[in-house]
This record gives sequence, structure tokens and C-alpha cells, in this order.
Amino acid sequence: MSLHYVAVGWNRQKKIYDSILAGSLTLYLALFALLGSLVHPNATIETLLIRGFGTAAFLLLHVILCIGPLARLDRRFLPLLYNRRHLGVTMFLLALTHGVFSIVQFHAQGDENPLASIFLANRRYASLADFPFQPLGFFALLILFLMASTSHDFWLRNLTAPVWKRLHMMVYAAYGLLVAHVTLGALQSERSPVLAVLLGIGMACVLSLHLAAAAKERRVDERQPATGGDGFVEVCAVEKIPLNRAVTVSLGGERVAVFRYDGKVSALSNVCQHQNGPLGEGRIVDGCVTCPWHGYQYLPDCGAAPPPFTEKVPTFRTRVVDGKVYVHPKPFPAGTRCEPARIDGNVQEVAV
Amino acid sequence: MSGRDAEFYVGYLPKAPGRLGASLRRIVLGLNLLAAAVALTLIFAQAPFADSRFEFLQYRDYEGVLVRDPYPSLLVKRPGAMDGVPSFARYLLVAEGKRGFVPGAELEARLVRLRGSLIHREDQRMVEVLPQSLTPAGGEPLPKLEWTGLGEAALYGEIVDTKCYLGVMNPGEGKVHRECAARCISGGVPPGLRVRDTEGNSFVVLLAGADGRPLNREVLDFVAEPVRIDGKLSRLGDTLILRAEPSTFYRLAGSRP
Ligand code: HEM
Ligand code: FES
Repeated sequence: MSLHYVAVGWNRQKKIYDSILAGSLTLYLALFALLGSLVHPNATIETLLIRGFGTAAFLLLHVILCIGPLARLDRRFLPLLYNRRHLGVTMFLLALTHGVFSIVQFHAQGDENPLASIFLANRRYASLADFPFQPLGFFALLILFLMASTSHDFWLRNLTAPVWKRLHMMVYAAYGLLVAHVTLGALQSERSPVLAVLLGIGMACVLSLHLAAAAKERRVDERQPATGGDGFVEVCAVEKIPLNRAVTVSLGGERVAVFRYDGKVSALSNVCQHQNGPLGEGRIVDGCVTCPWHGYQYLPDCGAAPPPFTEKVPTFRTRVVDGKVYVHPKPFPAGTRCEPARIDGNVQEVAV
Repeated sequence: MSGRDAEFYVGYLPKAPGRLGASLRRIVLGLNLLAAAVALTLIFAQAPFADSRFEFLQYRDYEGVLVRDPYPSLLVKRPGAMDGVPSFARYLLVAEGKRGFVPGAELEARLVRLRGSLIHREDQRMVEVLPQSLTPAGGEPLPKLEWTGLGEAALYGEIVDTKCYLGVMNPGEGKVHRECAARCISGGVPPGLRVRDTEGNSFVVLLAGADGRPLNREVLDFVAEPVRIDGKLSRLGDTLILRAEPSTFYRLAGSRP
């Protein structure tokens, strides 16, 4: 949330996060290579490293893909989301190591350019069982490279959020390519069904968590409140909104976060300008709506980040009548000040 | 809404709230256990690795007769040869990387010396020749050793590049190795058909054209998948060769032998 970009911004939490990540990965790779060479004394170290880095990257990709929906379903996973970018870049570096080792091992020192050889060495493109699996890994690596190299907030701003978001949705294409890379590669050579079962469990986790999170959001979207004569829509009773938090409603197809704080009610777009985090799952901290994902902040009455920051989200008119909260579904341009509705009388606080 | 929901994590604040910190530690521990479990499962589920060797960066001296029948090989006399055991051992010769070895024609059938790294699997051997180490050891050309015909044969197996299969890579066969096998054979490494005998032992039968010519690019489309090859089988010492035209190779879809 800064106007100046530093190459990588580290703070205390990120340092802890990154050292745990580095430790876990070292453990995984060491276990794979050292125990691997004890269990299989005939295996060459190149093979163990190629497999170790490939599987570490693929496992980390599963974790990355699962964190998003997990954080939606259970707030305790939110801290993992905060620094997901470092997970992504780390995963790319592991995959790159695997890819480069593989290219050197399987294609270098021959009679063809090693990169061209990825595509030309196996020409059985018309077969399923013998389909060349390495080009699939290559294209996945290309996508991961694009994502890792544009992961910085500098690119997020310069590409604009929608373009950036679309680019980063390509992680699902990369995941699909990699499932095929493994299914048409290692699974065709290995005899043990354990590997196929493991891949199946991984895919089932990714898919089911995404479906569960989507179902949760659909419940919000389906709750279409009735519209009054003046265009205002009844959202809920005031006490349904916990103090300093929000209730998310879908109004005219757009999700709106309705916050209660300081005896007032304000409504903002639910979509954080940073990476589309759900502001309605955030909270008022120091008088500002604070995004649950990376902590970007907005003033509740005008949807603008406090100076010197410049992010802005659309705002909505609110009204409180007879202990009920109403919101007008027509958004004001991002950053427009909108008088918060005052709550008269005491609110029965719901224990949180 | 449960109690833990009241705690809110803001990443750039120095410390996560107490209860959140505790559940976070549990999540991190869980993820580490998951990673360790995956690593262990993968280690033990990997298919066993063949007992093949490449003495990388270790060099030995060899002396023997250089032949190209059709693949460059060194025939090395066995000390104290007995009846029924071939009196020489064949070392296929390859260059560094994914390349065949190309000796000068003038050394054909002559006694030579060379230096290189041993590659072997069971009793099938190969040497990766150190560049410029091949020298004549004197003497006249020796009489050519002829292959003994064993008749027509239909063999089932997988075409491998002999260099990787005999030890440079492990695994040096199967789908994951297909690209590399094609690259090696294309670069001049002798192609072989990996077959299994009735006891399940694997070994390599060299492949040549019906006219005895060396094969390389012609077989690329058939490597690393199950094939049947009908041809003329011959033996020389402990080496078998199958002579057949690649245009008659038969691809066996489905099960891998
Ligand atoms: C240029 C890109 C790539 C190439 C040339 C490549 C090559 C290979 C090869 C040759 C294998 C088989 C290795 C063996 O079983 O001995 C393999 C397996 C595998 N690859 Fe890749 N790969 C590439 C990209 C990727 C990427 C981006 C990922 C994941 C993030 C990945 C994940 C895996 C996994 C999980 C396996 C199965 C486990 C294993 O056998 O190593 N690969 N890859
Ligand atoms: S999405 Fe990153 S702070 Fe909101």
C-alpha cells in the first residue's frame, strides 16, 4: 500500500513467514534426496533432484491454490494468504530448477537445440499414452514465470487490477497443464498406484475447496433483499452487523460491504482495489476499513485510502430506520464521500 | 460467530493476536507434516532402480580390437578363456554427451588403446571414450570376427538408447526417458531392443538395418514404447543383434511389457 516501490518489502511477519517456508522446503528436499538415496542406492542424484524439486513445486502449488478458498471458509487461514506472493515466487523457483535440470539432463549435449528438443524429441502428438509430456511442463513454467515476474505491486498498478487479475487466473491453466504433465509423464512410467492416488487426493482438495467457497459466496448473492419504493434496499437489522465489522450483501449483482462503527453505518464496494480481497470480511482498524488479505485501508465514509495512499472504492448511500439498515444499490464513483447513516438509540451488541 | 473470529490479522503489524498465533502454529505444523508425509510416500512408491553404473569422471585404460559391426566397439580378450565362454568381451564405444563415437576407418580391426569411463549393467558394457585417447597399439589388422546367424526371430520389447539404459541414467527407459532416448539415438548412440528372457531378466539386443547398416534417426518414432520387431537374429560372443527394417517395426498399443 505504498507509493514507493521497494524490490521486496519485508516486515516482521513476512520474515517469519519466509524463514518457515525456507525451512520446510529445505527439510522436504533434504528428506527426498538423502533418504531417497538410502532407500534407492542405485538411483542417480540427478534423478532424485529432478523429482524432488518437481514434486516440491507441485505440492506447494496445491497449497497455494487451496489457501484462497480455505481463507474464505475459515478465517484462521487468512495469515497464510497475506504473503502468498512469496509462496508463488518460491514455487516458480522450485519449478524452474526442476525444468532446467530436466532440460540439461534430457536434452543438452545432443544434436539439437535443447529447447527445440523439448518439442521435437517425441513427436507422438497424435497418441494419448505416448503424448509428449514435457512441452506441457514447459508451458506451465512459462505461465508461472509470467505470474512470478509480475507479482510485485508495481505490476499490479501498471497493468491495472483487472488485467493483472486475469493474468493471475492463468494459474488454473498452469495447474491443468501440470496435472497432464504428471499424468502423461511420471504416471506412465511408474508402476505403483500410490502416485495416482496421491495426485487424485490433491486434485480433489483443490476442486472441493473451490466449490465450497463458491457455494458460500453464492449464498450471499442469492440473498436478494427487497427494494423499497425510493430505491433503498433493506439489508438487515442494525444489531446483525457486529461492531466494527460488516455484513456483505449482493445488490444489483454487485457485492457491497455494510460496516457499523462509532454509532454509524457506511457501505462500500466489497472489492479491495489491491487484489480484489473481500472488504466485507475485513474490519475497522484505527477508524479505517481494513482488508483481510493484505491490510489495505479505506475510510468508511468515502471509500478512499487515507493519504498518502490513493486507492479508492465505490461508496453507497445508507439509511437506518426503525433499527433496520437500508442501502441504495446505485454506487457512487470510487472515493465519493457519502454521509454515514446515524444509529439512534442503543444497539443490542451481539457477542463476538 | 465464534470467539476466534474476533481476532483479526493484519500482516504488517508486528505480532499476530495470541489465539490466532496459536492456531497459525498448528496450521504450519500440519503443513510440514503433510510435506514430510508426501516426501516419504513418494520415496517409497518410486519404482525400484536398476543396478546399472556409470563411472562418471573415473577413467580406465582399455586395449582391444576396434570393430564397427556396425556399431563401434572394442573387443577385449578375456584372460584364461574357457570352453563355452566367449574369449573376448564387447565394450560398445560412445562419445561424451548424447553422441556416438566415430573412430577413423584406418583403425578398423586393429589392436588399439583408449581411455574412458565404464558404463555397465549386468554383464553388458560400454565405454565413454575420452576424446583423443584412441591410439593404435601396433600390429597388423586381425581377421574379422563374423556374426553367427540364429535365424528369424520376432522380439517384443522397448527400443532404448544403449548409453542411458546401460547406466548413464537411471531410469534409462520408459515414458519419462523417451525424449532423452530419442536425442541420444539421433546423436549416434547405438539403439538396442530391451527384451526380457523367460526368467524375467532384461538385456539389450542391438538393432541394425536388414542390410546390417547402423540405425539411428530411422527408429526415433518407435523409442520408449512397446514394439514387436521381426528380423534376423545373430550372435557374436555374448552380444546379440537383430537385423530388421524400421519400416516393418510394429507398435504394440496398450500394455507396456
Ligand atoms: C521446461 C519445463 C519442464 C520440463 C522439461 C519437465 C520435465 C520433467 C520430466 C523429464 C519429468 C520426469 C522425471 C522423472 O520421473 O524422472 C517430470 C516430472 C514431473 N514434473 Fe516436470 N518438467 C517441466 C516443468 C514442470 C513444472 C513447471 C512443474 C511444477 C510446478 C513440474 C512438475 C513435475 C512433477 C510433479 C513431476 C512428477 C514427479 C517426477 O517424476 O519428477 N514440471 N518433469
Ligand atoms: S486484496 Fe490485498 S489488501 Fe485487499
